[in-house]
Amino acid sequence: MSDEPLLDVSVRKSGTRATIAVAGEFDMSSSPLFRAAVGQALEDAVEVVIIDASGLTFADSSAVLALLKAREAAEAHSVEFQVTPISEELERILELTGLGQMFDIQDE
Amino acid sequence: MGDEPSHQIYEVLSGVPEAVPRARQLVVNSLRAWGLSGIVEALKVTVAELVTNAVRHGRGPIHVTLAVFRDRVRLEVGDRGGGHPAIRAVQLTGPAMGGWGLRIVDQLVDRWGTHTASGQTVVWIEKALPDAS
Repeated sequence: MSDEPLLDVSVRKSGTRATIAVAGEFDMSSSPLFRAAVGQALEDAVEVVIIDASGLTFADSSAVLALLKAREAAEAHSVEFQVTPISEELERILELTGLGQMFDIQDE
Repeated sequence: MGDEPSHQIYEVLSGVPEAVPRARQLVVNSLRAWGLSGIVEALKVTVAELVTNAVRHGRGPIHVTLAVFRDRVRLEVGDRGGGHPAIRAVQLTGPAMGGWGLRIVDQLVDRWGTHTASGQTVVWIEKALPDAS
């Protein structure tokens, strides 16, 4: 197996909104990348952080945990936190954890 | 239960986070090669949860065994102990946040259990094959 990261994390800033797009496979091996990107966005004094999870091809409970922790960190910075849009894989794992309603998930 | 597996694969992985994608790849590739694509989705999440627990709570290398029997597939994930695999109360905040792993697994498989033998903690699952009932 290659050592290429399985998760692509890209951050786009537009005014006071930061959009963090995650694509690929989100598990415990890739969550540090995500955590770093969220931490950086919160340091940049944005008002809204949006997680674009439409490109996730795999997600497990570690991904859900990382999203919950990101939401907690955003709240501590008084930053609004949204997860939108989400992929089918993330939707499925949110259903299995019963946590879909924990996130501000917008329909497209 | 006394039947022999028609296919079996075994791998030992270092107990690090990268074991999660490796184990997932092993399970996905093996099931596809054996013509069992119908259970790939459930098993790839299951193996990810079990290996994640082994990395977080267990010790030593992680043993992953996947075996196909006439009517079911069986997956075992073992480590050198330290963990006590059990469904725990979900924590939504704080440092102990989590508790979904085995709850997710419980919804995806038909049976699961744990056993400790010769210093190993093993979590096993079984799932019926789609055309066997």
